[in-house]
Amino acid sequence: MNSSTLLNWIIFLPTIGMVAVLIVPRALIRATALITALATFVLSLYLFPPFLQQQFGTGYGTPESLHFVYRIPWISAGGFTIDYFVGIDGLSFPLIVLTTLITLLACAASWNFDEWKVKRGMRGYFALFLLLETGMLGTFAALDFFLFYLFWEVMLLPMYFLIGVWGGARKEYAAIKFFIYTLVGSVLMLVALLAMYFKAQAAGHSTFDIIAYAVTPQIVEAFNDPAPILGFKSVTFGIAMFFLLYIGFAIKIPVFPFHTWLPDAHVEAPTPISMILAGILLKMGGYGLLRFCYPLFPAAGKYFAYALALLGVINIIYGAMCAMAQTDFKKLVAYSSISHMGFVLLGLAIMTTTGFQGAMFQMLAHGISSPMCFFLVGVIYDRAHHREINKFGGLWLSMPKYGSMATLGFFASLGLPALCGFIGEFWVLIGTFQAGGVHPEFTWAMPMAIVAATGVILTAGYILWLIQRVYLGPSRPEYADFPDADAREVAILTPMAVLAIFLGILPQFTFDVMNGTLDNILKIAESTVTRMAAL
Amino acid sequence: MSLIAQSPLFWFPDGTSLSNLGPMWALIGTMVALLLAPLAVGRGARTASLIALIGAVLTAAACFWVLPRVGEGGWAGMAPFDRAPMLVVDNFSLFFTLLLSLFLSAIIGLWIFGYYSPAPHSDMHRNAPEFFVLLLASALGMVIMVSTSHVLMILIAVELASLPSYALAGFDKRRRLGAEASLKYVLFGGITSAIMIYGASLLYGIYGTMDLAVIARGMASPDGVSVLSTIATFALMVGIGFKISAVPFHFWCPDVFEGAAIEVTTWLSVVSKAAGLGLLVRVVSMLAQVGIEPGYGYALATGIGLFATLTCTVGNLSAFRQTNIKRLLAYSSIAHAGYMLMAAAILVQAAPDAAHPAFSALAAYLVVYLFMNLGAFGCAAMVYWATGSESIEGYGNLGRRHTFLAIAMTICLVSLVGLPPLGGFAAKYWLLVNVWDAGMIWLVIVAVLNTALSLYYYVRVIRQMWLVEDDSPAISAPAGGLAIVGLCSFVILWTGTLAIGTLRITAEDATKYLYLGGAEPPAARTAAVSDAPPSGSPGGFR
Repeated sequence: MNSSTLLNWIIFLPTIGMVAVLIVPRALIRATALITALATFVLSLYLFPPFLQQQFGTGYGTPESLHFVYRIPWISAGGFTIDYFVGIDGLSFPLIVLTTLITLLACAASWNFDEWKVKRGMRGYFALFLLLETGMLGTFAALDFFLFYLFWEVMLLPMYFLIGVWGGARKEYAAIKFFIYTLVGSVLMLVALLAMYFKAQAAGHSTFDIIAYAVTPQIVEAFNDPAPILGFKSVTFGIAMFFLLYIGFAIKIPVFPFHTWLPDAHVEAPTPISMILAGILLKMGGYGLLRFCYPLFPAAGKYFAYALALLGVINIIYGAMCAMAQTDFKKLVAYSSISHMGFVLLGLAIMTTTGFQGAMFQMLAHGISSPMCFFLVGVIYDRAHHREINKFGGLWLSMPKYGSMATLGFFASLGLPALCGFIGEFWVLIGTFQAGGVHPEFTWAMPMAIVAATGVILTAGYILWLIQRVYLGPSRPEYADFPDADAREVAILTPMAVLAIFLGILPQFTFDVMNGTLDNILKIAESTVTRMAAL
Repeated sequence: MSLIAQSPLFWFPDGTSLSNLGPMWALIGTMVALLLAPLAVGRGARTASLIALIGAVLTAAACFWVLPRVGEGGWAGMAPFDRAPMLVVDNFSLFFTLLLSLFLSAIIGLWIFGYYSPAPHSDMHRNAPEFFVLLLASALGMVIMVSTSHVLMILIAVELASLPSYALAGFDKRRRLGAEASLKYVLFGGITSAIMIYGASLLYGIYGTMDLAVIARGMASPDGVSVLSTIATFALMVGIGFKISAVPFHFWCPDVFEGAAIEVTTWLSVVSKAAGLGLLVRVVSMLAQVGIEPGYGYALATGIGLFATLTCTVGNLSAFRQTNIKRLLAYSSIAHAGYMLMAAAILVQAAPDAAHPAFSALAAYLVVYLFMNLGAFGCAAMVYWATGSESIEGYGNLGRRHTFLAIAMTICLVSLVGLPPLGGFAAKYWLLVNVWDAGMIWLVIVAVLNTALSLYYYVRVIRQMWLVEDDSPAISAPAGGLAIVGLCSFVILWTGTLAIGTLRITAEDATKYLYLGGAEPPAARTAAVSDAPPSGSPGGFR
């Protein structure tokens, strides 16, 4: 656990860039923002070495498993000790690199700002954009719950403005809906934050340290105390906390029935913001479940396993069916996100190695394929100024480069073997199928895997139908003279296309980076459950 | 003088005791100067505002001057012989007085900027000396509210704070809305005062004293609490509830806030509530410190908690449909009074030492609340001066028409919601921490759900400023006013990020000691007073 300030630079470089954006002349705003995003991405590449050295990435819960740690006492008042504590392990590292990459690409996607329908306040747009990046990176890097909560909420306001000011026709409705949904989730998280701190304090450790919550024996015993609380018969402390945190994270993922903000937000948000929303913000829900719920309250995880898995399957099937019914191109991609994130929830719910690995991989894969799809929608929207799927046709003929990229992107999203979407879904389905073998009480796992697998067919259905309606068929005269994807658009699509293929054919590299941490989280969870059962 | 001081029938405080009340003297002196100045130099608005500003600054300076004498857990005050002091100066009251005088300076500053703004002058500007005398008189009343533990002084202080406020609310005689506000304020205030005085008289009748410490001891004794004494305590609380506009004593608040000039509204929304809360905290902790019977204490805590719940929920829900920014902020201030009432609820569970964490939680909240509301009302005032409009509609596209003002307003509003990384969150966090620690988890849940509830109406204003297309011309605002709201925004940002801990530690330092009645002889009392004749002197209140 070597102290390093690198993470601080990565987190706060966008903030510095934000200040720069606020003062540079108007002509330089875009360049400043892009350079900041690029510099942040390059800095994040320096995080790679420790994760490449070890055979299986890195562990969890031990001091050696954390890298680039920076920890100083921050607040010590009112009986509280709060640290500024950042660091990464195999869980947060891939997501941080994903964040810096997608933000860079989204920043490049904002380059044609002057051609947008709402093109006022370029300075504000890029300033908020960079502030959002700080919030996202901080959320993934924070290992102190209080700090995590601060960064989590820092993301709210920029996102509200980015959707609300620069969005589409119903932007105000979409923005306030996003804001209220997320805030409700985070105030519940605040209750959990207080409860967990006081519980840990009662156990003799006044700390917000998330890792210590999972590995300090006294805290673990206090958190997983099987005694009922608040006079309810079956509600233990762990179950209550798991539930509160779950609501907050489920709204972000989003899980049925909290998903309704997502289609609205996506449809109204400008293209780059949709990319960030789908690529990164949705991942925070899954990350939160893996960072808090499962290592800290594994017994509650088991208690909720059936419900969560069921919700995951609902997400998969319901999201896919909704996607199939859409005629708005962007809304279709938004519902496909809901469907894909259902696999993440299902993989987590079954609490097996394969499931966790699949869920995490699915998050990364979706973090690459969904921004790509949203950008592809954005490219065509910039030209056609509408998103009606049924009005398109034969675009591949007039735009060959774009058409090829689009097919690749949507196939990656579909889960075609050899592309990134396949591995995650396959791992989750296999894990669910076998879950009954790991946890004998999960007798429902196999039927659920079978139902969830039909979701893959539905996905193939709506994506192939989409490709057929938009890209194939005879060329239509009104789209015949559309210019093909220009250099900027190709430059944005290429990294995502390359990564989609890379993750698809060499998944082992990605698994190596994170499996050590995921397996250890599960190991700690299992040992906690065993120990508490023995007490 | 010493002869008189030693007479058992007539007591006169010595110089040290009097000088301990420095901040009050500064306020009184300023009032006298304001009234006399027109005789010498004419009724100039500029002179009057200058004198008032100097007075406010002097009051702040006097706080620092008195502070060393009450440091290290002491108190000072005017105490005849060995009796309980009528006026008390301790860390808490000085802290409050300091906040009040700083806020007073800001209000006078706003008045000055309004005077020089293009908006037409009102009576408030034409009759400046009278306006400032009333303002300072209400300030004095509020200072006394937090500087006493004697029921009689509480009544006088509440009246002294209220009566000038009635006049201030309707100061602009020609405005129907102001007159209506003033009348409603008087009627409501008069009735609650009557109930309060009735309660005080009952308390005196039951316990034979006006000293709260003795009343508390009486309540702690066997059979000390009866139905009558409960009614009396409740009646006393009604007056305080009126000052802090706790539901259901809040009906005056939106009308008065809407009808009064914006400077007066700002003044009433912050300081009047703060004084009421300071008083409430002292009364509750005096009743709690002697170990009231657990059942009664639990009932009291739950009762105050229910009032807090009702206050913040009703405040937030009523704010939803407001179209006037001052009414919206009025309901917002009712909701915030509810949050702060939660601190009073946990006070009932007395801490072993005098420094109950609820004080510091409340003090931290008050500091942030002061800056948030000053900022929000300051922005509203500047928009009013420039456009003559107080409706939320008038904020259309403020982000383009005056970006700085819109950013400051956004920061203040988001902080009022209580979102990180702003001061409003830090304040709420420290409050909720103590409420949770005291075991009132349901109050925490009420507070966080109300936070989510309140988002909607604050965001309506933010939406109007940034999301709405509006072709109204750009507006201009006085630089001094912008400096005030800029400072407020900076403090809010600072307390919400780097200074979360500093905020709490400062609040803890400021509230280390609260005078709770004559447990031990006060260290700072002077020899002359200590040498005074023993007790047993006839007559008078005890």
